[in-house]
Amino acid sequence: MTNQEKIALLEETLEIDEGTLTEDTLLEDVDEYDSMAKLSLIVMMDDEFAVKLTGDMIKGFQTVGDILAVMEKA
Amino acid sequence: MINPMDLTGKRILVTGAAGGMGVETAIQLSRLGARVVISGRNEEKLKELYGRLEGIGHHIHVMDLNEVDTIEESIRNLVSEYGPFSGFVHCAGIAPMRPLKMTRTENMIQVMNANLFSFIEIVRCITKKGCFEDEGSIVAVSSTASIQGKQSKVAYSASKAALDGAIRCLVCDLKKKKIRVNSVMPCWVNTRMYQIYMDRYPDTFEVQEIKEKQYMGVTEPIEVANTIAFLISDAAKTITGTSILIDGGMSQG
Amino acid sequence: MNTLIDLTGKHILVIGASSGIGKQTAITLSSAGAKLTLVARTEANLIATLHELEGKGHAYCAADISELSGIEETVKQIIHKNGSLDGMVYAAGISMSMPLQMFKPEKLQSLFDVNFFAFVESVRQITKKGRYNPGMRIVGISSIASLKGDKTHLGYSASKAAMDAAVRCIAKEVAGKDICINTVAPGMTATGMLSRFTDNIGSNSESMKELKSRQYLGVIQPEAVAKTIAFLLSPAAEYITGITLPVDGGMTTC
Repeated sequence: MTNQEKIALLEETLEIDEGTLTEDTLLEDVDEYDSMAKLSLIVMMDDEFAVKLTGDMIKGFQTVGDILAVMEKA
Repeated sequence: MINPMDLTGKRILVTGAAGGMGVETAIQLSRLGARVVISGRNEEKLKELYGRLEGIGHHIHVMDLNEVDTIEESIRNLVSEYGPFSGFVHCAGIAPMRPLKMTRTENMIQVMNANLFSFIEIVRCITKKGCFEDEGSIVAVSSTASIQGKQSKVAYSASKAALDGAIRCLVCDLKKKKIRVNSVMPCWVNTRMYQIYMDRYPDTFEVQEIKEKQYMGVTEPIEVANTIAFLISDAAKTITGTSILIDGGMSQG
Repeated sequence: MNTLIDLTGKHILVIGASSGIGKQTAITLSSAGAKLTLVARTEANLIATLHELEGKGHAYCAADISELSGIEETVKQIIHKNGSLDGMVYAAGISMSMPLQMFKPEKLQSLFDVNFFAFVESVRQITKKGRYNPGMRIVGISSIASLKGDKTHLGYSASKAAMDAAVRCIAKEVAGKDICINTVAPGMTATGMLSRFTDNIGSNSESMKELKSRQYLGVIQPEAVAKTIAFLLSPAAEYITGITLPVDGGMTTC
């Protein structure tokens, strides 16, 4: 999956308008990135990549790029 | 000294016996004198549990409840090997958290199979002629999710509400044999699943809730086991078609 | 023109619109000024319902809602052709009366396909971005069977209880999108489903007499349920969400 495709998937999962996010976007600047969004992220990572995100991993995400880095099949 | 919850000689099937609530329930029922058949997918864990049961007459039965079509034969084999049952406790089930928008049909079907269709199929097969004693007792583990709406719990809540809806009908279907059917409704129980939630979703609304609204603290599996044992026993002889809340104050707090 | 509830210009999707409560609901909603898109399996039946509606601008789409994988496409097409939604009524549902011993897994599954899985999938699809207008209201048709048990009703009761519980959860999840969702739980309503049920248990049987004595206001006319649905779809029901509203002639509380 290309980075562009991953970003699109992320935008869809978080219900953010297409073309809003970039690799460098700071998650704290993304209004939609609330606790429901984190839950959606956990489910999406499990469904699409068989990756089980832990609480620590999520705490460690600062930018969109950090999330893209784990979007690989386990 | 009397024991109003004496279960001496009663043969009871416990599904989901390898899970947090199942383990404590099976042990407690054995301590009360029951002969338990412990069922689950994980043979290793069942063997470990077997070693902790008190008394005699217990058996292990490996069964995957997701394969709903195999249940009929499984139950038939159990009854022909060990004789009719007096009780059935359903502790098996899954509790995924999944937002509505990501709850596709296959996700819902998976939850319904594990939590509802398997339960109904076991009851259907185990209450056939000669398989279950008259005035026997069935208890399912439901959840407060059956009656309260929470985010990301659509499939799970629906499966538990369906379970309780089914129980209200099963009571009527099984009237002639006077078989009682009830459920228990815990909220947060201290099991491995709970530990995973606390780790994975630390700053969600759900977890805040545990700390604030379930003000009597997280429920220990033994408490659920005791309530199940009560409902299974003759101490609950005319209790049927209902559900007992074990929610540490969550609903009212 | 029905002035009790004003739904003028609201685009409302009615799934299961060609018979029973669904059909009557479509008619009642049209008389309240709504612009409807009707969905049911058979085109001929849809056209027949269309002819009974008041007002203009209504549309229909023939689709088998139990084909779960097709729901997304059906919803997309409807939105594309007729615009985004102000409301939806889920009136598709089947009943299955049989003794416990006959309720094998495949029967339960097929009941749940129409009564529950298709309902959640329909709601999931219409609550996606761009498909709804703010203030959208959704009503599912449940049943008092969700709340009270009876013999031979195992699958039906379970599927309706599932619908009500799903609505309690969905209400919380979609609140942020300014969407409200509820169910109505009718008692015995004069429809084809009730006739079949009555035939099954006998119109003069003890069971029937007992049911009639508990539903002490008498058998319900579909229009009564339709009006309650219209209320729940209207701004008059502004703060009502996540509930199951019985329309039961007294049955659930006595």
